[in-house]
Amino acid sequence: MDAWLAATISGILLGGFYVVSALGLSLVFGVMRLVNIAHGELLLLGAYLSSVLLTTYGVDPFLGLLVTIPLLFALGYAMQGLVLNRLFVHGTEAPMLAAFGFSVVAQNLYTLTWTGNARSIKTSYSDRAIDLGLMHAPQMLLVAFAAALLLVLGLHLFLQRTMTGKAIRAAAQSPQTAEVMGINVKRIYALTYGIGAAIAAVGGLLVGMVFSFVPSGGVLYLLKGFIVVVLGGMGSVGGTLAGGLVLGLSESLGAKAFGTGYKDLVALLVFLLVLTLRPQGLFGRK
Amino acid sequence: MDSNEAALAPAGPRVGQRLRPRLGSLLLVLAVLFLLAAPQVVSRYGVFLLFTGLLYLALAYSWNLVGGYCGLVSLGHAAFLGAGAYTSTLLLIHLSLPLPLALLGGATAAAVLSVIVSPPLFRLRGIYFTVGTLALAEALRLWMIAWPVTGGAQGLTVPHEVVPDRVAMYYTALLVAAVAVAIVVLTVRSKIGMALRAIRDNEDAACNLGVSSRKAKLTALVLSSFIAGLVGAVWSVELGRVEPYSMFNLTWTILMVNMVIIGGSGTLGGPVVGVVFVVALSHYLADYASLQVLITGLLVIAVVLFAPGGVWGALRRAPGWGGRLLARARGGGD
Repeated sequence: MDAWLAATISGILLGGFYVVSALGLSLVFGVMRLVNIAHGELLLLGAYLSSVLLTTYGVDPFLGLLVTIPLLFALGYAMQGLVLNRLFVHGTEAPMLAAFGFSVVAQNLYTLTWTGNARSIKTSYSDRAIDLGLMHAPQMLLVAFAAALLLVLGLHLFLQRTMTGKAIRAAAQSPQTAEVMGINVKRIYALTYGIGAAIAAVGGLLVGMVFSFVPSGGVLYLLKGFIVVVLGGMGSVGGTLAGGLVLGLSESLGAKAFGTGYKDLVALLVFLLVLTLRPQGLFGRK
Repeated sequence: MDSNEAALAPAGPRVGQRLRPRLGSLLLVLAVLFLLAAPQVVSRYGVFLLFTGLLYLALAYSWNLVGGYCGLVSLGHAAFLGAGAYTSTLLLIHLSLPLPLALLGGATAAAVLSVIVSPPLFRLRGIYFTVGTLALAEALRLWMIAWPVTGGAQGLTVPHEVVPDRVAMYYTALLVAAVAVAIVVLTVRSKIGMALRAIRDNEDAACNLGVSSRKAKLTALVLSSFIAGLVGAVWSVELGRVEPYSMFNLTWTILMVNMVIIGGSGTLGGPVVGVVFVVALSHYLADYASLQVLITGLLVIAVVLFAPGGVWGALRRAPGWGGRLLARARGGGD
């Protein structure tokens, strides 16, 4: 019984991690109906940059966020503004294929620059575990959970209370109407993508500290991110939180039931199941 | 063009119009003759390049059928490749089947897989479908790693004795490519082909007009997966082993998608251009595998931005002799 409780708590913490790694994807999808195929690679970029800052310049990764977040924001803004924005007129496949192209380019850039070897971000505190009575939880996972709550709350407030946030929501609800109201929808899209990339910078840091990463690892994070988005219902920040928790729980409990080798498989099967039976997500509206 | 026909053809502009399709078919015949004679006239390395190119061609046609003609962008086609490779290897190891049967077995297994996954997969539209295929390929890969029967992360080795020599492998690839092209061309030019294009353009409207969308999509997917499975099986024999990383690798899918998009999706000539390009790139940048894929990725972005019809599409629209030659020669496609 104790072991299952521990697995549940693990699952919740893991869920927090997944929330952070999926939040950018969810935002972009909710606003632009674009599944950012390059999302995994953006996460990895955050991880690689944080790692480089640590190993080459000795900058603590969390401090390094001051650099990686703006950098990734700028990159995301450019990607959307210069390339993806132009493709929406060609239908839904074109932006997706372009994002696919980006992801291919990125993966190979990473391999060329940093080799295919696995990396992780190790600091003096990254391996510590905290005693929760029932179990020892990796400190980083707790940090990830806290980050998830902060980011979700922050994003929610941003979208609800600021003018830009409201503009984003307007563009998400109806681009044409927003345009008529004087909102530069293309600029809003670029901004949204940039924010998504910036969040991915944080997610990437957590990926690097909690797990290790290789250039080809982006796909799994893309898939898990999409699982979170689909589970939580499209375009809902709170839904993303719920979806992440559900994913974390099913992975953790699945690992307990079938063994850790099968945990990713369980997650994917849950995904295919939900997609088939309830495509609007567990919390979405049809 | 033989002299009889030239003598009988009426003079004037009509001569030119009869000339172009003939030229296209002539080129095609020459190409086929060259391919048939290749092992005699080309170096070993050249034969290997052609071998690879022919398998890529089959793959490109396979993906094009579903992605180009039907608009179902599949990023998980590696699943079918892997299914074919693993099944064929298992058949060779455990049942000692003769090679051709094992290859066909692999292809059939891939087709069966597609039938099994089609009910859930086809309920997904657009982007959901694409991510669903990604999930499928990834799930299969993880399953192969976890399952002892399939050798886990180490994979399985193809029994030595079964692997034929280079020339036989080459002709096998040629046969596979021929079969793939034949299947796709016949399908595209049939009623199913029209149904696929109708579904691509607007699935709901097509259904309203009486097109059985499920049947058409399923046919396309089954045929496409059959070809992909066949290629996977052949490739596994060439490599001598199967393991989850290489067989279900996204790189295969990337290759397929890139070849078709760059060459021109939804056309019969596009994949050929894409294949030639990719093989040439692999030759000139042989030491820089990552760079090769990077360049194709950049080209995909460029194509999507500036030339959605791919190289083939751009050429067909080109003014003047070149464009009209291409437009008439390969009459099928768009």
